[in-house]
Amino acid sequence: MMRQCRPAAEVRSAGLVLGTLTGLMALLVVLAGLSMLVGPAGFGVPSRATSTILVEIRLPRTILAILVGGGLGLSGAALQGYLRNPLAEPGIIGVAGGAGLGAVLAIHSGASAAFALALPLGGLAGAAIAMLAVLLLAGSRGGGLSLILAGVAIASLASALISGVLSLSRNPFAAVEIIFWLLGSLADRSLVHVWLAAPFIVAGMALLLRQGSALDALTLGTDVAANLGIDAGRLRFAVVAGTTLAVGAATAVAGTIAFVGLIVPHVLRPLVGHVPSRLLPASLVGGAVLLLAADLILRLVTPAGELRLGVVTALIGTPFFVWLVARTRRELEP
Amino acid sequence: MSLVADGIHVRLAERAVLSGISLDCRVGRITGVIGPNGAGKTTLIRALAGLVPVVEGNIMLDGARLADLPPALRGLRLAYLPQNRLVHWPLSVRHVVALGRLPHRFVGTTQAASREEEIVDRALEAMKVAHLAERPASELSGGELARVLFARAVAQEASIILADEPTAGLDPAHALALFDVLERMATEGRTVVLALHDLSLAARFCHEVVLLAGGRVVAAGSPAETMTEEALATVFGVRMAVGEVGGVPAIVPLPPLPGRLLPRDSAP
Repeated sequence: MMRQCRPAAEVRSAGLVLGTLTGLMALLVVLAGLSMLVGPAGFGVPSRATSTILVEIRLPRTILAILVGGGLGLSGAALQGYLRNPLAEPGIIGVAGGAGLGAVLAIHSGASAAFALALPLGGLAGAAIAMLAVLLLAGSRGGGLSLILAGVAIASLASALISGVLSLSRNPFAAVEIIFWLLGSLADRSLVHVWLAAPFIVAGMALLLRQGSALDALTLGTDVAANLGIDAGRLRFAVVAGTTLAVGAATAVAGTIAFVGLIVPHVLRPLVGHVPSRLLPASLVGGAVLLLAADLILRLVTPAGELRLGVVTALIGTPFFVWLVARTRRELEP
Repeated sequence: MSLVADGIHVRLAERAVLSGISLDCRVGRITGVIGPNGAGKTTLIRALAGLVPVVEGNIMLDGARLADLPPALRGLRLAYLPQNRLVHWPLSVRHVVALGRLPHRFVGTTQAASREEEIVDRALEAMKVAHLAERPASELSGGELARVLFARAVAQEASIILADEPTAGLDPAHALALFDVLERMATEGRTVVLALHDLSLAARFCHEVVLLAGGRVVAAGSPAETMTEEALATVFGVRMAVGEVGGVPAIVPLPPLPGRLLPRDSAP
């Protein structure tokens, strides 16, 4: 009797996973299309005269939303799987803070005024330095906890240094620029930004997507994962390096965008049967969908761009978090 | 495949946990490691699985050094079951058991998809958990989870089984059923090594017993040779009665004799 039930249940779960991915991909295509059609220059397909807008403004914005959102979602899923903690998010290992600090220093020093790409380049350098510091601090043999502690230390240091730079900023315009940049945005990015960030984000994604089986094995604990052939040191390096590449480059071009890496894996986990390896591709697409949607909302609500993307994702994220707290409380209450 | 430890020393956090342990786990035999808490049983099983670095001495798998084997190949040779029954995400039972196939995937010895499915099915059936296959592992009872995690080790199809307290928390029927599977595995030509708390089960099912105290081997050999009242009393610090009930070995701790002080603080 049970043997007859099994294939049906199996097919149902496989169907759900496939349906989730297909649905997310369809949503991604629709939102990307909308993203190309919506903007302050008006709705609809622009004429030949305005095709510049399409290629120079909306295309980079759409591509960056997909890359940044996908990188954040995927990194969140990989970190949650590696740390086996549903509250982990890319910011926890300090690379986003490092990227932020690098970019802020580029603004503060005036380098970005002299040379526009100094800002993302500074962000990339900051992320790389933060990653090395975290790996050194966490040691090669420590477990997930040492990585979290090292990451929190580096993130706090980066955040303190950013505040320091802000308070030392004698030019109020530079300070406002720093604050606005930190809030995250995809406005006014060009194809150059795309070319700068894409290789890093794509490389990081490729590295993270390859860790699926290892993350699955970790479900049974580090000892069993090691017994199943997982090299703990290599996995840790791959997760940290992949996150650094994806999130560091994303932060370098788009600023700090909160909550995407936390919420997306959370929402999708039950839909993919909680299997970490299935969650990775789903979170990539889901992150891209969420960021595209947030950026669209932003453009529709405030076409002039007063509201920042990081603010919108946080506004979407907080109610979700409240719901999460309520649900957890319900489950824990006797 | 035989598993031999040759004078191994293990240090954890600067403390010597195992000092010069030698043992010979032979094919087709169940070797039990017994001893009081803190004797080093868990560390010994982990060392034999290659999970903790051995600072001195060697662990040999059919004459080859375990330390020289790449991680994935180790997973093909030996399956390790820890004492804690951990499943971090509510994966389905089938998924948990299928994880046992990972070493085969890493090494490239995976078989056709239908055959892989069959191996997982067989492991589920061997541990009598086939009816739970689609249930989330997080919703199982302790006994069910223990059997599911053991099924993962069965699916691994390794020639050596290393299990740390596999019967801990199991009711008598499930404990006996598990030993049934272990005996079958041994008869099929596997090498089974267990850390055990239950002395009666150890005396009943193990072919060889290694008595461990303070990170050293105190006695090794057949249960009859090693598990004497005197040896057990010395190592565990409690008077023991070794006998038989209903035709099977039974070992029972006894209260101290009147006039004698309470048992010694710990093992020698």
